[in-house]
Amino acid sequence: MWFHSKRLRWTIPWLFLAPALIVFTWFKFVPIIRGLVMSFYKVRFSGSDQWVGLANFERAFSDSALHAATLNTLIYVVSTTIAGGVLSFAVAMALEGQARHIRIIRTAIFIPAVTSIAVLAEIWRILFYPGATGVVNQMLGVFAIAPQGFMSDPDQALFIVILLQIWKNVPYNMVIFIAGLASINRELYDAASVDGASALRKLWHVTIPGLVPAFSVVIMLSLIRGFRVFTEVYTTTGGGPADATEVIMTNIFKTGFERFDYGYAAAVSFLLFAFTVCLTIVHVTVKNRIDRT
Amino acid sequence: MGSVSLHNINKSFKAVDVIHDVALEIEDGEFCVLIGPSGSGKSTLLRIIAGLEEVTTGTVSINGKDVTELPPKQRDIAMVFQTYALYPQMTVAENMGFALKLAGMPKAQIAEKVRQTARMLELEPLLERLPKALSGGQRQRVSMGRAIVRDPSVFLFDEPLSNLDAKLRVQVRGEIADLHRRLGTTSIYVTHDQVEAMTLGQKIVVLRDGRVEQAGPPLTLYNDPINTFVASFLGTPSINLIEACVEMRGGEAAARLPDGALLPLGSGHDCREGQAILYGIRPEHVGIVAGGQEGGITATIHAVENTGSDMVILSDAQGFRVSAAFKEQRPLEPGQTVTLIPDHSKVRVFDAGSGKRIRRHENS
Repeated sequence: MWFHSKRLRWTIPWLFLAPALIVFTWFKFVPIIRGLVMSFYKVRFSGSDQWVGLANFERAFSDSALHAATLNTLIYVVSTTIAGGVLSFAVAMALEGQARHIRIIRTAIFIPAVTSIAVLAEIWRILFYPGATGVVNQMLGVFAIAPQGFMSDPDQALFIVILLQIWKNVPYNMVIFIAGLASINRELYDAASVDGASALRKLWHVTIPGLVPAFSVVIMLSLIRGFRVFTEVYTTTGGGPADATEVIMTNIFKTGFERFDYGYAAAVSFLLFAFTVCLTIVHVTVKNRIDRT
Repeated sequence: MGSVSLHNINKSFKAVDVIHDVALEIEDGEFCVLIGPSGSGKSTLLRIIAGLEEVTTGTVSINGKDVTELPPKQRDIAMVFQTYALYPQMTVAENMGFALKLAGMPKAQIAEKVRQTARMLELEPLLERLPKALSGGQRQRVSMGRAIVRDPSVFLFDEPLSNLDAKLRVQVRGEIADLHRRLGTTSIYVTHDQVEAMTLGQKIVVLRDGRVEQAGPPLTLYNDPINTFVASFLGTPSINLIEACVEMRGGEAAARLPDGALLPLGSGHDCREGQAILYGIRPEHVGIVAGGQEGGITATIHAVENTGSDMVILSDAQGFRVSAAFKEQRPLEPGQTVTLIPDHSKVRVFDAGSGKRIRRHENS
């Protein structure tokens, strides 16, 4: 009897989990494992796949197009993380509070975070239209600046896509920072005032230490989003012009679905996955070390 | 050390007036307790003294100097907070020395002052620890250390014991009293706990709805409250306030209680025949005898609370409730009929309408 009840207790949670587990296994875990297996093969659409061992992985280290895409991704990640982080922190500081007008502005600012990327990309294309009739070009014209190429100019395209990512991420990060600010003990600010701290000292000794968990979340999300960025680039520039905005994910997409080199695309995907996992482990380790000290 | 003077302090948050015309003098070296229920304005008043809140009108003076417009750091005050407000990323030593560092004091001097204060508060072994590695009591001691190390004219305490458990509260309360004896620094202490107020304060200021109801030494307020609010706010269990009607008998006033009992009020009370009053008697001034008896209030025991050192009887008379408290253990049980005999010399009479005290004439 005892055996049965214990067995039942063990079984019931798994029964509840089963539908989700089956769906996830079929649509997520199986493709992940098949992708990993595929990375050791040269995939052929006619005939059987050819085992190539680690050749696809070795190729990734000597692929100049992938290296260029990786460099673009790094620029993308570092810029969006730093600029996005600083900007969202500043916006959060400015928009913290319960006043009605602040709540309205906060809601307005949050709209890009919940809007489809396809829509945002279209807005970006309208704003940064390269001709003289483009919205931003018309504004620049007021200051007698000649129309810019923006997303059609290889020197500017990556910067414009980075701006889109920042615009989309800032409101989301702002909410994380505002939640962090609300959790800071207000008496710490009073104590700092009594201690004679200036506004800058309060920011340094009270606000920023109190926001370490929020910074941690924002940085981690920004890094993961940045390294795996695809939709923002694909819907705006598609990686062009002249591969100026090519990032790792668009490179993988083209390798897999345009050049049909599935094995190699799977190997690069797996390398990106492994790198993201390592990044997360490093981040969690650093965060735990900060928490302990 | 310093005296604190508040002149006609008013404070409004938008349309809501929270402090009304408060005037208060706190002597140099005095331990003053601000007490009142939630929303009485006691913490706002303390924050006004600290400079953390601006006054709407009125002036704050510390040591005779008008500090109304000065920021907290220029007021020569130090504050101990309810949540301790220790900087979590700083060690105990850094927390204690932070204000001195901001004031530009040389490092060696800061270290020496921190060490001296830490020794006084027995915090020396904890100096290199972070606040999260300390117990609640230790954190509060660090918070006090941070205030002491600055050697201010005035200490401000904002409900510093609220976050501690009952046992620790008694211990830290003793430490605060001891520190005040040793340092003699003017202290202003906010609490809603009347035991803290009675045990620590040399002066108690009772606040209600942003107004000072009464200020004075603890026993004066306890024995000589000016109204029912002060009378019932101080003392546990609370004073018995029984609705009654004045009857004059041969020039002497007596109180007719709802159950028909007639209790003497003594001569000289400024009241008239038929006046509605509240007959106030503290539980410890109510005697108790078993069974029904003339000259007292016949009641049935509703509950007996025995703490070991004290015994409190809650009893139901006809139309009102009376509590009695005494030190000795007595064989009393719920349901038992007893007679409660108030000590007539300790009765405090209040007007039933205004709640104000009806005093005896000086010459009576």
